[in-house]
Amino acid sequence: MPPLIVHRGKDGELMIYDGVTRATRVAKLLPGQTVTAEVTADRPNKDFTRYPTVEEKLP
Amino acid sequence: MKTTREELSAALAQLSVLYPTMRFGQLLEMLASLAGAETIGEIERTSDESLLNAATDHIARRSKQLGLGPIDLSGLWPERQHLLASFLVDATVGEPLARISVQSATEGGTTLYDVEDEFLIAKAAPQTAVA
Repeated sequence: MPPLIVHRGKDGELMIYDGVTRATRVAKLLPGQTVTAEVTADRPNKDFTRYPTVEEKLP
Repeated sequence: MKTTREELSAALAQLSVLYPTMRFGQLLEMLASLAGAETIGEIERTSDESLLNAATDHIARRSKQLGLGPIDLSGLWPERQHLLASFLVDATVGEPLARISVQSATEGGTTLYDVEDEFLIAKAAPQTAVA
């Protein structure tokens, strides 16, 4: 599986920019399984906590 | 001298090669976010200049991260080339690229993040044909 593409924001929160579907499927079908993510941008001033988490979006 | 839209199109071509698994809408949403947009309304109002600045900065960072020199655009696939060319035609309308893309996605009943390239190409096809 290709790595998720993420940006790292304030307090280390990660925002997925590519791979939401992959992350959601893994979370649903293999709960607890870790996946590889590639941090392509560090944005320490960006607060990503306002966005829903993968867990919150699980069908 | 290139127009802002032409420069943005060239930058998006480079980003497409750097992120080959990302749909065009995903790339635009990422750029708009890097440009400071947080809501869909802010994304729509993001100017081509802001997208270009964000793209230029991110291309430099990502290329350095990957240890790349000049980006080889020979890896740019025809469908993405076609889509980027269609937005050069749209430039004559004077609408920001982000707005055009968000509106197209909305008309297709989806979001900028989720819209498929094929849908955007189909939307742009008549205008491209005129060109």
